[in-house]
Amino acid sequence: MKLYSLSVHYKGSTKANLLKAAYDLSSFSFFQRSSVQEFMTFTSALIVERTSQGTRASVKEQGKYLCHVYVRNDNLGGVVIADTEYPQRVCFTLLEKVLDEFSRQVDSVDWPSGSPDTVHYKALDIHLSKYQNPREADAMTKVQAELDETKIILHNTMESLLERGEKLDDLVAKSEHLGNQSKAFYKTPRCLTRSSKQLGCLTSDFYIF
Amino acid sequence: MAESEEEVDVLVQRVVKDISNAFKRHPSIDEIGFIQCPEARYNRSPIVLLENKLGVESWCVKFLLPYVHNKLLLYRQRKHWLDREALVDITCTLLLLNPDFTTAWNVRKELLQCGALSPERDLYLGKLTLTKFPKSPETWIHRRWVLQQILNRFPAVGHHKILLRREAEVEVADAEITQHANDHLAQIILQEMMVCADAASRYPSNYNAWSHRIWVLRHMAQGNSKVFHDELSSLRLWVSMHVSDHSGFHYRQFLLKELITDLNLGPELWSNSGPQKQASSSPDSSYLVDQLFYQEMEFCSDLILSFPGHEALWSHRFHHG
Repeated sequence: MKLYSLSVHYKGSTKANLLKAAYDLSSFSFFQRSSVQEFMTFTSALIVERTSQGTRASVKEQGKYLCHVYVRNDNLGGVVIADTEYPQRVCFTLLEKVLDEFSRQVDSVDWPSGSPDTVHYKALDIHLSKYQNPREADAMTKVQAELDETKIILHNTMESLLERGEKLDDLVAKSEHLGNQSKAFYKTPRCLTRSSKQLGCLTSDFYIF
Repeated sequence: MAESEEEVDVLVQRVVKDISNAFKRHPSIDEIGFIQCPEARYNRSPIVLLENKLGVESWCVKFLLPYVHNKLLLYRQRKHWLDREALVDITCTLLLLNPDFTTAWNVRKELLQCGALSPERDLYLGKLTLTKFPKSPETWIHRRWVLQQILNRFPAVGHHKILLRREAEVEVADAEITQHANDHLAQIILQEMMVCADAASRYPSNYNAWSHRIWVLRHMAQGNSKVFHDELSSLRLWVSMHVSDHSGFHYRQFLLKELITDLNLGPELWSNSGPQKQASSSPDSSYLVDQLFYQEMEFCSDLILSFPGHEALWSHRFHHG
């Protein structure tokens, strides 16, 4: 039961603007953490871009990650990336809480142009850490009542968020969130290289197969 | 760009040496990993050490693995001689890349038996390979072989078992040896529990890790109910955070069964309808058994309420129902 990342974005007219992010990558192999982080940022921003205002959704990725997103009517959006064990409703409680707190601490005039370096919101790391244990972090029964009427859209893959004809590969290639190394990993057909076969699965982490 | 055989030879020998030196200079390396790196950077070793993590750049693997693999096979076929130090280094490199290469572990068994390698060294190597390959069957199998070698060297282990049952009969002279052996044993058990827990966290329902954990307790903690009780309580948090891990809950069932057996209820009475009480058992032990059951049921029900929809939880509850 794990939370991997928690991020706040501004949903602009054409793209999402990352305002702040926190990560817990301790369960990933040490040398993959920086790439995994980049892919999580990329994925979070993309999801916010493709989610309409006033919507909550959960997007499954590679069968073992769930990206939960909530985009408010004022275009403030939050994404939490969790494993499939972590209770979905607690993620939405967390998102609601974080966005509420963020909007009170950071003026909306700063959202369209803000960046993690310029935005003064420090609580994200603490929230991520505290919510690693969902029972300690929140009163579960309260959450149950609040979310029963809320509709959450479920997407089985990232691809279902894309426009017709759009390819994830192209978005990866163009992304400013991904370094050259990460882009190179994504393109390499690793499962076909001889050394990978000998080694079995070389890596099995977020987007890096 | 085709490398000449000579160039590959030189490269591989350097890499094997780099790995060996890394371990000599940094005995606290606690994780291994591969670094995705399609091309070599000019004149730099593919072996990277950062914050006690040892990384191998992927570009060198296609040279390294077949080469050392071949070298070891030639040694086995008596076509090529390797001295002990070279064998240690080569098998170490091989196993870091492919821990399921049985031949490499077997060569290390021979080195261990002739005193060229300490058992602790192999426990350490196994611990490292499990950080990258947490299920590796050959690593776990070899690990048990090594632990058995260590156990065989304990003259006092037999006494340890007796000590628990007939304390009054142990002689004073033996007591000190026994205490030292007990401490060493306790340390080993603790380390194994940690290695298993780490491997279980790295791979969901890691059957190999949990079976090993059971093996360790069966062979090193028989009759020591304190260890079983400690395990039961220390694992509460872990299973709460891994509610769909069937193997974790199966382990709890094993612990409970052992504790109940220890409380003098025969294992043959364990049936689907729950344990029946032997006529000769004391009221105290029946009460303790009930307590254990009640606590586990409560714990399980609590988890089910908090995290609905996990089969492992229901299966665990059913097993106790």
